[in-house]
Amino acid sequence: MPRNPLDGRGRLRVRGFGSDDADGDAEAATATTPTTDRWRRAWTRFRRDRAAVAGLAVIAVMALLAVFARPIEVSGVVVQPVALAPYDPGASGVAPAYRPPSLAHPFGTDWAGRDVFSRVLYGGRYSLSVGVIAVSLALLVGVPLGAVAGYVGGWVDETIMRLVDVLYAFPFLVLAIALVAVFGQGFWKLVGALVAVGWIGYARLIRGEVLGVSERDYVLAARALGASDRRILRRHVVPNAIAPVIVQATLNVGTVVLSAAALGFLGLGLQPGTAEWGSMLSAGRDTLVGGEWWVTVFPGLAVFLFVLSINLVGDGVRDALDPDADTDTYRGAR
Amino acid sequence: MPPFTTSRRQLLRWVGAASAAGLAGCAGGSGDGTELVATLGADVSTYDPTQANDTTSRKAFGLVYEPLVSVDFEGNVRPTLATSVDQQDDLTWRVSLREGVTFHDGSDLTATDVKATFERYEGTPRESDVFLWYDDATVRDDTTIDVTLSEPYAPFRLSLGGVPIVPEAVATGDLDLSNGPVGTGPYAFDAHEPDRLYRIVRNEDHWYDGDGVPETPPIETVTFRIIVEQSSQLAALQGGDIDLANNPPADAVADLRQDDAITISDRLAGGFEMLVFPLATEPFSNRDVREGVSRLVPREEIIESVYGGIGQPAYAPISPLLSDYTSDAFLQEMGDEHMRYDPEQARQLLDAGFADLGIDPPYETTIVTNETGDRVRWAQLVRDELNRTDYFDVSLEQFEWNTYISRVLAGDSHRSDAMMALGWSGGWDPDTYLRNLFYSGQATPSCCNAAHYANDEVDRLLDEALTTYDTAARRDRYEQAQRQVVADAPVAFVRFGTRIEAFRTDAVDGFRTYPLDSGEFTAIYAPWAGTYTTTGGG
Amino acid sequence: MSLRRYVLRRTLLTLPILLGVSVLTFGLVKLLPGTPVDYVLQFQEATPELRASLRAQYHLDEPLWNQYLLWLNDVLHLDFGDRVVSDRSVTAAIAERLPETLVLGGAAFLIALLVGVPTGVVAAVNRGTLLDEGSRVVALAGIATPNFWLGLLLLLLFGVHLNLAPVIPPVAPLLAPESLAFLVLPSLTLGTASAALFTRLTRSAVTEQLGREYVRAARARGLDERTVIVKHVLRNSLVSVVTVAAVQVAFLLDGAVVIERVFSWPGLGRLLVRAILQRDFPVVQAVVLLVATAVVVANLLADVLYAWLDPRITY
Repeated sequence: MPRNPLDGRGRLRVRGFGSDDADGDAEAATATTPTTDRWRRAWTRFRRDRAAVAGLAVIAVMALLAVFARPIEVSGVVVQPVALAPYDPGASGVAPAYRPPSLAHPFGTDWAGRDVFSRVLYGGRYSLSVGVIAVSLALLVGVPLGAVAGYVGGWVDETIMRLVDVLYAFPFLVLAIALVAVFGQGFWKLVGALVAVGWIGYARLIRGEVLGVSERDYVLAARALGASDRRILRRHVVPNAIAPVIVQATLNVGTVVLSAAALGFLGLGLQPGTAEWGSMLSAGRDTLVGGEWWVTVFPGLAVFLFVLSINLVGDGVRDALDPDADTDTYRGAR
Repeated sequence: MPPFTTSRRQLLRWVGAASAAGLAGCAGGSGDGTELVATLGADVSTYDPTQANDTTSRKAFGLVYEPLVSVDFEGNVRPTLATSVDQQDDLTWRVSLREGVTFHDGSDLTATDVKATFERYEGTPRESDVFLWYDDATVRDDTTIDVTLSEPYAPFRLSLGGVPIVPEAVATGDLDLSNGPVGTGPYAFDAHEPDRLYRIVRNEDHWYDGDGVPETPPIETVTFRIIVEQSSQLAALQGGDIDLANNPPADAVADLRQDDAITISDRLAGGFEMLVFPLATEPFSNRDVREGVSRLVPREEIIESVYGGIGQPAYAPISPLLSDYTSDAFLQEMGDEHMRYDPEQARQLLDAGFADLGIDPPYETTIVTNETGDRVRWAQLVRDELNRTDYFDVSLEQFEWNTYISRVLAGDSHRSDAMMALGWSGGWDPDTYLRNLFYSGQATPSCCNAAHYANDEVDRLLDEALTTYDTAARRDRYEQAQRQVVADAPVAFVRFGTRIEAFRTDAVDGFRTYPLDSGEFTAIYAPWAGTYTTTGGG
Repeated sequence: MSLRRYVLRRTLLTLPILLGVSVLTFGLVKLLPGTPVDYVLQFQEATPELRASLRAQYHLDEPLWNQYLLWLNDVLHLDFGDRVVSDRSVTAAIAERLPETLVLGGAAFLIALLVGVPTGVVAAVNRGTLLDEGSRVVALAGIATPNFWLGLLLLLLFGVHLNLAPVIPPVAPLLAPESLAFLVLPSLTLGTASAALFTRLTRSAVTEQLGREYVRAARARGLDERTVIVKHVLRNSLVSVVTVAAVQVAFLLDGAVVIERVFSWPGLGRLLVRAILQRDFPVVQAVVLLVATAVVVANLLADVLYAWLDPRITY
């Protein structure tokens, strides 16, 4: 596997290795906080992307609305007393059923006389938490496995990748349906099903990137300088390989919300009557034909807005982490 | 086995029909090439009556096969393949067959076909359709057969209505029904494209030659489009792609009624929704608690919100469809005494019940339901109502169908810590509303008594009512049985079911809703009931 | 090792993968509560003898590994068995529906590629401009809509309100003009999400490549922009795009499940979901194996392409 790093590459510029550290630790050589520098620069770039900033703003607003929709109690103590939502999202019969939008009920009422506006506000909690939690857990599982597989290679790579292949070949919905049918419905079971299916994408993706990055000059150089594998992985390989994974992850927050809606469409969602946007969409879909458009349009818009914003943010993140044409092409340790 | 359209056969039929119908003119609307496009909500799974446990398959071959007698829209038994069914004694009935009837494959209908039909039910999933009463049959001649029962069986004639007659060749293995149903009916099987459509074509050689109803079905072709998604079904109806939609959701009905292009046909059906209590689990083992919960079921609100105002509350099991065995007065009486929504009285009952058991409220429990839209909704309303009191903390568990029935029909369903939201379909005989649900021997997993309700008195009454032919005696016993069941409250009845169809006003004429789901398309051509449907033209 | 050996090794590996998939499927279906017998006999009086005989018919009382091996043995003789809840054989049931799903999936994939990749390139090349941002937002809007909702809305708009298209598939052969015309809406719905994904991916990959040294070198050498992009940048960007494109094969089926239901399209997706819910094990196994094979082959092709396109990666 070792190759001459100078082959067909053009000029090799090495920066930052000016220290006389006794053990030749590449880490000490790059100790001039290059990584925080990198993230700060990324944030600056992110800020320049108007659409991404708009997306972030929307997400922030939605998160705030979700938190302040109804009071939050932790073991009996009221932690958050504000109730932006005028009605209890689960209270049936607060108004006649199927009332079109009006001043009292800006989003109208549904079949049980529940206020759709309150439900949409409150529903943000489910969508936000399902999306963020499921993706985070999947990343926690997938990234380490995939990075190790790509870097170490050999039989470790083989085993992990074969497992990934088997799970990958499996249609996601089948797995999700089976898991939900076995373990029943409910928030954590839904998250569990989504994580069980979601981690393989990240593992595969980061392995591919790691394979490419591992051949890069700065990695070979770091290795030549005697840095440990774990350090190399953590400091050089993964940060440079992670960009597509982060893009994918932010995209997947939205996908997870949509998958939850699709499962609800097939009859496998959260507890019936839950004020979750996807559930509301599938529970009310017959009303589209009937003309009570507000029952699905508002939750649908909420999902749409949420996923769109998340994706704009994801794109912004991608651009922010990417070297621009106006800075060094060299993406090594800065 | 060719599942695809046999277009050449179709063409031949059309040519044949054209030459024949060209002379008939517009009498009875027997125009050439008339087609009715109806819908099925699921794919047809089998053509064999002994295998078909799903109503979709039964609906689909309902016009292709015929039974010995049929039950009309009011519950009266009408001769179909049999001209008479006469009782010889307690255990023997003599059936006289109609002459000159042929199957679609050309063979003649004889008594041996009937006997073969009965006997092949043995060991099949629908075995109980026949072997609940059948003991033996003696073929006396080509058109006479004596059926011997194992016990006197009051609903014998009605049960005959549920046994489609197939050719003897099926039993001997010479004819394979998996290629298509072969019967004597007014329509013959034409094509089945799985998940797409199921088509039947007029049988020109149908035996009917009476008057009042055209000799052959006015509609030449009936194509059932298979549309699983309800919204798509409704959209197709409004867009004109289909003529008849089955079972539109109650939400849509109100809107559809306002559309002049669409007619809604609804009818009280044979069946009800109920909440089943696990009798072996506290607090549901206490009768006061059960009645308290029953009195918290907001039936009127459910009918209003979930069913668009259609249907009526249920306070006893036998559907008002059976006007001989129940009455509105009786239902009101049962409601007043035991079941009607009354939160005040419910509180008193729950108070007493919980005190008796020594349990401190609120009691945490669940309601188990499947994914059917209506059921999920009424379960939610019940849950909300129960949670408004201080006695319960109820959550809802929804499972997909198979998981749901494995829980509800499991042997230990009465010990589960969950109430079960269940729907029940009965038939034309009162026994079908009581035995499977409330007879001790029918406790799960044998059949459907999920509560494991066991009352010797009720058992005795049901047995007696089943084995006596005296209608007055039966009525009396069923009333007593109902009173006992309602008083014991092993379940809380919610609502009697209704069947609804929506069709295009200008495309369908003469259609009526049949109260039982498996007979949905009966009205397309049922000469023995004086009913037939045309496509509105001619 | 050389590319050829790599390909050979990967091809040989597909067999254990498929075996693994079949074991996993078997385990999952058996884990599900309820059996096909429960389904067939639901809400019916059934004697214990009848129940026992039906259970024996489906081998339900045999030890699990034995049930699996019986099935495996049949498959090795190319017999996929009979459907538990219907008259048809599994092979016939799949053969009837496979072409429908292939056509739907193929059309959707094509739309996704033809729309997504060029848009992504244009966006990346014009990065930072309104064109870039606009196309990005449009692409993302495509992903953001729940597909069944989009499908229903389209169906209502074109099928009912405008009365331009039928709501259900026409009764015509699969490749007839009317059928293909009907397919426009469902494949648009299905392909939207993938198109958007391809746009973003292509844009990301091309952007990354445009920042590379060799691009500056090529420009410095005097090559015109178009050659730079098409000959060099595109080829290198395709690495990432290809990896994810292979993934889309599996996701296409998942999307197809929902779309097939909304548009009443008689494909494999519906068969699969129904089979799972009916515990129709032979059907589930056969369909999953079929899909798995397609995915595995697609991934294999992707990896081969990956290795071929990026000479830095050796195995």
